[in-house]
Amino acid sequence: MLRNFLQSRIVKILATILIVFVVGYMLYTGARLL
Amino acid sequence: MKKLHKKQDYRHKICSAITILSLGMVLLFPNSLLRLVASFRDLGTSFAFYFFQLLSPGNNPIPDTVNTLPQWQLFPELWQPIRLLPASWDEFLQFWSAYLSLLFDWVNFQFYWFAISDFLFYGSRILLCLFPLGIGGIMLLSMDKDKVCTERGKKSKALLWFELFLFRRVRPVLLWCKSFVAFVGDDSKYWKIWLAIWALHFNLYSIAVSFIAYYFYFVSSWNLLSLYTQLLKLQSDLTPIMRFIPGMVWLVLLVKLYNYVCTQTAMKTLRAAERVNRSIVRQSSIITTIGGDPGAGKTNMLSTMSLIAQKEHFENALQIMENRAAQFPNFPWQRFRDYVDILIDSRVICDVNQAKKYFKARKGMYDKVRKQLTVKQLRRVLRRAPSYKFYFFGYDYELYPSTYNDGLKVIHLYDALQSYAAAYLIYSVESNLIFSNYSIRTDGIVRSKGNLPLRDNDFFNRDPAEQHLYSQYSHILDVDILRPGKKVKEGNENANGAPIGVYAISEIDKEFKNMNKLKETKIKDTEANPKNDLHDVALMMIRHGAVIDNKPFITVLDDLQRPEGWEAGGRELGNVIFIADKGEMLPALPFFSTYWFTEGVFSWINGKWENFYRDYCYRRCDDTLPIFLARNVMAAGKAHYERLQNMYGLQLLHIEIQSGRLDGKIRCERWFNISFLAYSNRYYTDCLASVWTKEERNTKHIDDFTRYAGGLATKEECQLQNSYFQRDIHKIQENNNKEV
Repeated sequence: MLRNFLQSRIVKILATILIVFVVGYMLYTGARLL
Repeated sequence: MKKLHKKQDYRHKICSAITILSLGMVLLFPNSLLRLVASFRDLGTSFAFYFFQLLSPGNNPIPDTVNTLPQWQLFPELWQPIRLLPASWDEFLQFWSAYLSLLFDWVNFQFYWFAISDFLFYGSRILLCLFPLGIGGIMLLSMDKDKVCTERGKKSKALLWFELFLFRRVRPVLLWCKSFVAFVGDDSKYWKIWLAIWALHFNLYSIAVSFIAYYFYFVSSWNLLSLYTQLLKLQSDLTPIMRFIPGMVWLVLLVKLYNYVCTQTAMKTLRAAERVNRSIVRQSSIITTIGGDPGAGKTNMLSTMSLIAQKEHFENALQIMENRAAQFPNFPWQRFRDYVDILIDSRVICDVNQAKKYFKARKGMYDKVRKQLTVKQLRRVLRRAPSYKFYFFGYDYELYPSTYNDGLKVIHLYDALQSYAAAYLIYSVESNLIFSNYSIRTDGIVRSKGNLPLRDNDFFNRDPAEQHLYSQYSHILDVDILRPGKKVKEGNENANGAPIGVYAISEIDKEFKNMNKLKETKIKDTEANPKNDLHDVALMMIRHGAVIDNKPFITVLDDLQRPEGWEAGGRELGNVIFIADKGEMLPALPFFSTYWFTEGVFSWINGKWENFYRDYCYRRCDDTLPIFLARNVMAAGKAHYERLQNMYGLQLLHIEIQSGRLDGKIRCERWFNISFLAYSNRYYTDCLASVWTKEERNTKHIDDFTRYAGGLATKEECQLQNSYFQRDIHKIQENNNKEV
């Protein structure tokens, strides 16, 4: 059940958004300093 | 011909112009040549540094020029270095501590939120600007829908103009571009020259030379801090390529790279899934039965398992050959393979046992000659009797050993040759190893330059457009091969050898049946039947005819609906795999692929479009520009997602494995149905449709069959069923009527 949920389309999309958000934040911080 | 020459000259001129233009670009990239000279200077000093460091460590007079940043720059305004890194290591340390503190700073996070909000704000404004366009398109389509037209082949004026523009103006340009790319590809000197020139402009040579120069410096100095300077130099060297290529092109390249990463990740997942399947095949016994309800995917699994088992046999055969070759590393194995090829081509050896026997018989002669003659004497003998060379193959038995001690036993050269020849017999098969009672497409490719052939059994590295070039189908299974007793065809030549390879038998219970169904058949019957053909004995002993170095080269795979339908004597020899549950077929693309979002959006739009277009086709048969555009865009989108599904599709099957004794001890495993492997014309679901092919032509359309007149079937209608039940009822009623 949990496995199916973790492999569902919505979780994949949300995980991608989260990663883009975090990586974006790191790059944004670096760009501000440079 | 003249025209052709003219065309070639014309394109050569364009290519020459591009070459001159590329060369002229040196004026735009004046630093690249100087930078290359400097990198060669660095290489020289680094090599000298390395040399002196070896001679007198710690007292090196050579300066490390490789660690100095370029001090000069022509056109500094034009090629201002990009700034991705702080200017020095000390600055980097300061930057890093400031970065870490800023990363966890709430105000900075709020600023980030503001930036995102700005991005969303401008993004939504663009979307809102595009919104009226979408509404306009939908309105255009809706307006077209309400009309009714039954005139065939009619096109609107706008569409005719558009087609004229598309096919008379755009298409020729695209075709010319395509032909020009093909021309440049054919005449490799052009693109190689362009690549060489632009590699110089973009400092790629300097980067490569500097890398080697730094390697010599680093291995002698172990100065880790200098690594940062190299990163700065790399940043400076990459400036021309970063600044010259427009941002839009970088964006396209980034998207391409992202797609590449996604598809490669999917391929890795598919290969991992194939490895899981291979482990199931490896763990299975020689005879494996697949059971499941109709439509569960038994034949699909059977076909895939057959291909995997075949791959295993080929790889095991090659492994045996390599192991044996390693035992006698100086034996001329190529000459031996050439001889085995002759024996196979002339059909002197056709199966594993024959190959073993052939070389076993020659062992005595080899030993006799080896003990009596020196190699020099043997060469003289061979001049008079050249056929004897096929005992020695030019092996110098005086210099090299004829036995090998593996720690357990002493192996004679000819014992190794027996195994090698038998393994090579299997490995060098030109067709395939599968015998089946339905057609399975295999796509193994054999590459040979006249020496050791190499088999390419990679299921994924295949282009469907070239499928017809390398495809071949499995061998027709002659079941008499599995009948050591009575045969259906007396004196069947196919049944003279021992079975080797992969036997895939679909619906095996229809062939061998169980005891209940065989009640009426007798062992003494003159015709072959499952009781007197001794097929169960063949299955019990099947391994013995196909073993090389203790590895069996035989696999029997079969499927059926009910395991009990096949008699226990055969079924209990192996495992029964039952397909318990199937998941959804989805592409193996990684979670970060845009597929999961875009495909969802496309499916939603496509659903609306299909409803609309169905209704449109109901009303009209003519074509208009909006419909033409919408239809082609939707078809392109559908084709894109269909291809992704087909190429990377993966379905998880939960399987239950138990002994053929059906003792209830179940082992749960996973099996992957891989779309690219299973559905690329691999087999047809209606593979045995010929059962329904009749000599008399069918003239009855489904509309011609009689229908019931009402909800209650009449007596006459029941009789039209030609059913045993109705016939018996009718007879009983008739008898009752007579008695009355």
